[in-house]
Amino acid sequence: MRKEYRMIIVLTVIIAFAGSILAYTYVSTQEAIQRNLDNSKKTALLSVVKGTESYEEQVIDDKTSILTAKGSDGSVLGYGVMITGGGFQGAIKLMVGFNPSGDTVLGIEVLENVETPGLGNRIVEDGFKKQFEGTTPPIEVLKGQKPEKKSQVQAITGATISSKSVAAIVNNAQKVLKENLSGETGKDSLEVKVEGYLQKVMPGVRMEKRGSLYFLEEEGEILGYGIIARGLGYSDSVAVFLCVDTKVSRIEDLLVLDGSEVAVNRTKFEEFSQKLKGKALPLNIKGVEVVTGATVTQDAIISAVNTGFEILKKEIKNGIK
Amino acid sequence: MASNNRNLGFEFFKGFFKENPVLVQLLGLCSVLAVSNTVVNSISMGIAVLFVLFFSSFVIGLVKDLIPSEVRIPAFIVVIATFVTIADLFLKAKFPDISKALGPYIPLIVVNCIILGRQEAFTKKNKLLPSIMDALGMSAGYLIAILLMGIIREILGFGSILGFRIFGSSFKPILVMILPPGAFLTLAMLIGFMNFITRKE
Repeated sequence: MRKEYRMIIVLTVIIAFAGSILAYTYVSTQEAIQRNLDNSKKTALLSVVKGTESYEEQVIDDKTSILTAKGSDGSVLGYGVMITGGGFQGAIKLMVGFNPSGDTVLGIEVLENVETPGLGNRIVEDGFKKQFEGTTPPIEVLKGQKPEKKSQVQAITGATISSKSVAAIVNNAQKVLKENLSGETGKDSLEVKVEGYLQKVMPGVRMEKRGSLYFLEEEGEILGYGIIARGLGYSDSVAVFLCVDTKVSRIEDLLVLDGSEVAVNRTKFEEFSQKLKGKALPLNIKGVEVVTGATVTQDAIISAVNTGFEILKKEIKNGIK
Repeated sequence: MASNNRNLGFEFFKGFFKENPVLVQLLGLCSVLAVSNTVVNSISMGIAVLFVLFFSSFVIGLVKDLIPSEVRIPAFIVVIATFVTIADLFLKAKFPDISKALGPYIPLIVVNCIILGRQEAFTKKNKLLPSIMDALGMSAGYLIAILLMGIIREILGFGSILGFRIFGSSFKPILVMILPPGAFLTLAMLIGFMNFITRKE
């Protein structure tokens, strides 16, 4: 036989054999592998939402899925959000349990992580995980001091980044859950809030989003522009929705959107934002204490307004008409 | 017959010490460094390598005369990859935790130079029985080396062996031993020790 033919025949036969052996192995192990996967999912869900009898899984994307945990009578006991986020060395995959309203964390379970053994890897220890039980996101991570509020956990010594990553993933899990619970998919919660607010205070005004800018129109005439901007506060960032006139010279309206600090003193900050209405841009009242005991947060709002103003000015200059 | 037996014994035991694939030939170090942080991982990895090397040498020893030498490398690799995939699927099905801990290092046995190296250096030129002995000896040598690494690193890095604590609570684990630098340090000391003994002889 010619050598070329022999080479082809021998390789084909070997590969055919290998292929059939592998196909057989694959088929006979697939069931067990799938069962292992389901089991680890179910065990994790059971440990974060106690009493779960069955669950329904809703896949959001390749990194996130929401498991609706049901009790023996079919009632919803809570939700498990299976979500992956960045850690110190690589991805961390968590199962985060929430109560049915999605406000309180029932518990967390670490499914996968590649954090440093002995340091970041300690996020799998019960002592750390238990801290999250009963917390209300957004969660803040404290270094070296005992948590006082329901939204605080203490970082692991020597593993601040891993601890913060876990908290950030938990916060993100709640965001995803809330979006899906309210049925407002595809829009983030801030946008939903902004739309709701505008409909309330300016009925009849049509809002159109182009890029990060909002165009506010009434009967085909542009009234002004809006933008969502952030400023860095004491422990968390503060988001505001800024509305300006067509010349981008003064504040038409201002809505303080979120941030854990804002939630504590909402009415005060609402008053504060009302006071800023009509003020010329950029704002220059840093250091003036208006909201007692929250100077830093107040400055964060001002810096958010100024950031929003800078972006708007640039965008409008770039020729969006 | 007597000389034949002695040869088989030699082929088996040479991998333990004199031609240890890891500590003397310095082959397949990637997985030795990466997964030798605990004893369980080391044993699992060692057994996986033993399984793959044994069956690869067995099958290749059986069919080597049929394979034209021009296509021997792809043919060897297909055989090796088949057994590696079987080992990988088996671990995933029966020991998911171990499979997770070993991560990509089981699939990577395909390119572990010990496996292909033995086929090229030994199985190709020898009869079936010596090849099997060689495969068993070499994988035992690999297992011994990675196990030594695992024992040293787990004792110093976690203060435990097979997960059982062996020191009191006063023992503070030497964290670096379970991190990548610890793998290099341990391997270097083992190789140095090997060199020291063989030089004296």
